Amino acid sequence: MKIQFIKTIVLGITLLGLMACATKKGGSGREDELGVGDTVRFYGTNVSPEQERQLLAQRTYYFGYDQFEVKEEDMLSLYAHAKRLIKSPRSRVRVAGHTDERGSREYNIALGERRGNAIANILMLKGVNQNQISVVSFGKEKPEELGSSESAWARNRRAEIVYEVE
Amino acid sequence: MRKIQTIRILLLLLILLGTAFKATAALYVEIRGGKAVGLPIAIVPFSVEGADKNALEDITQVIKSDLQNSGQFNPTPFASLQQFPNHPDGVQYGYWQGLGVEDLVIGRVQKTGSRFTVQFELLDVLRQKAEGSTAKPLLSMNFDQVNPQEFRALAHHISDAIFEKLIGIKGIFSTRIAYVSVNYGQKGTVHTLEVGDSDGFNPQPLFRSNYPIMSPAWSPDGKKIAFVSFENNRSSVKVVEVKSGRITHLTQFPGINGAPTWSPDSQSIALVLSKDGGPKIYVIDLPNKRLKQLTDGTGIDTEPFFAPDGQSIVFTSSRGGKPQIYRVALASGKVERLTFSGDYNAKPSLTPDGKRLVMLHRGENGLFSIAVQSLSTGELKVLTQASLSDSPSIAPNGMMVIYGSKEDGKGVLGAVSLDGRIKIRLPAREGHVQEPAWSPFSS
Repeated sequence: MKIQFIKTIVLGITLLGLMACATKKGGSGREDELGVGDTVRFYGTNVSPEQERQLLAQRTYYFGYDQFEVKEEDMLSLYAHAKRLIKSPRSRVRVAGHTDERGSREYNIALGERRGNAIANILMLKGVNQNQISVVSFGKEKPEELGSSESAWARNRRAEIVYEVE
Repeated sequence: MRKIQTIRILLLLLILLGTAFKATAALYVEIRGGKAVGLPIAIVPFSVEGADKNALEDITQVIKSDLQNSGQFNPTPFASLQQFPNHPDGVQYGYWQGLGVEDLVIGRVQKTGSRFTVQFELLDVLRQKAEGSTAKPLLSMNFDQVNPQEFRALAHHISDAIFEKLIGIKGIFSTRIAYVSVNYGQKGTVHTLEVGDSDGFNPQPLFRSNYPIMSPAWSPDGKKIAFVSFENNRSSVKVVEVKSGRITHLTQFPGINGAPTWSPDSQSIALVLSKDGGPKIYVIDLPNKRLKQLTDGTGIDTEPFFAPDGQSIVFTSSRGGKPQIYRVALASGKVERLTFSGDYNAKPSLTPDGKRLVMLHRGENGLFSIAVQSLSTGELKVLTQASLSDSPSIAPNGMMVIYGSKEDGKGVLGAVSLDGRIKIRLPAREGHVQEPAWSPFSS
């Protein structure tokens, strides 16, 4: 878990560097307040309120086979969720990690947890409090799509964010 | 009363080309080299006195199915029988010899009061023919005061006695199989932990949930099953008492609570927790609930299984990069790697003699199959051809492995003998079935 966390931090710092952003961790130094109709500096990227809504609407993030690294294209959506969670300290999310059907069940539970943790780590890296996030792994027990095709497998390798408390 | 949602598990044996057997009742035997191995045995329908036999469970049919499904016997079809002796004195051994029958089972069911007396003999046809009245039956047993509700259990007991006498190994007909049944319906998915007889009859639901159920594990005395539950989207390990259905809670730490397995002395359960950062093997002392961490490191450690001597635990670990099977000695904590063939080896279990390792194995062809490895020679043998197998569980007599598989997108169970010769398929009547766990012998 430690090595994984360090890897995620390195990745996060690299991305931050690329976005030339100055995000502060912890309770102070929050993101700019979103004015109605404004386009805002959103972790270094210009994002309209409509775009932010779309980013927040995404709750599922997919992974490659045997992989638990979050895809680059999913980062903005996670940052949107992080911003929301930081803004609303009573909000709680549950991150559920899943795998495709190949392999043993309990090993897949462990792999699913790595996917859930990867998502959780991004959120915490952006300043979300640890106690706002819980991670559960369902391994291969809750497929999004039944069947043994490559496409079904791809849809099942995922992590899902659920707001337990909005 | 049989539940509407009964799962009747059909047993099918697959046939290889070149056998001369006629298929009977959807049973086939897959044999190596095209030579038949089933012992030719005839089970003559037991006579029934004092009661309507159609109102009673057919003991003879249960015995015949048991012996046939074991893959070790080739019972004569009832339709081929033209003599129906029910007592050794009434047997014409020449007739049976002419049919090619080597062993004969005959019996009598008699109503005595409100209960029944059941008697049977197992006769060696050639010996009886040669030695005449001086020859003794191989088996002669008498059961008094039998309740009609116990007829199936009695039939399985008789099958066990016949099997052990003729094969020399303890039979598993009185054992039970625990499994998880999953039904995808409009109102959501229902997961059920069930226990059934070894032939799939008498399914008994023990725990039902809208959340997944995993990893059933029998206690050594066969009275309890530990399993993983996900109530309220959190994993936990629970124990259910089979007879009463009573549930006790074992662990619900943050993170993973998984893969419970009992020590042979019943005093502890090994399981997986990730509460301290990453999935590791822990052992929990059952009397005092004291927890001891057994493995460490940054990899995934999971799927523990106690060696029969209780001195070590085999488990799956990704510490070498990919999942492989390792053994940790309980006294010293020393870890050694056991599997070196294939890039994925997981879900280990050991045969009762501790000499062979059964596992989920992915070899060069990329398919997940069940394999067995000799611990002394390291030689690995793949037992199944199905591509999506998981969850192997060894029978308590060490002869068969039951496992989960996928067929046309549906979860089914399969069974295979440890020499790979006998293959059985067990689909459920309804829904999907997965994660079988073979009970120990009944105490």
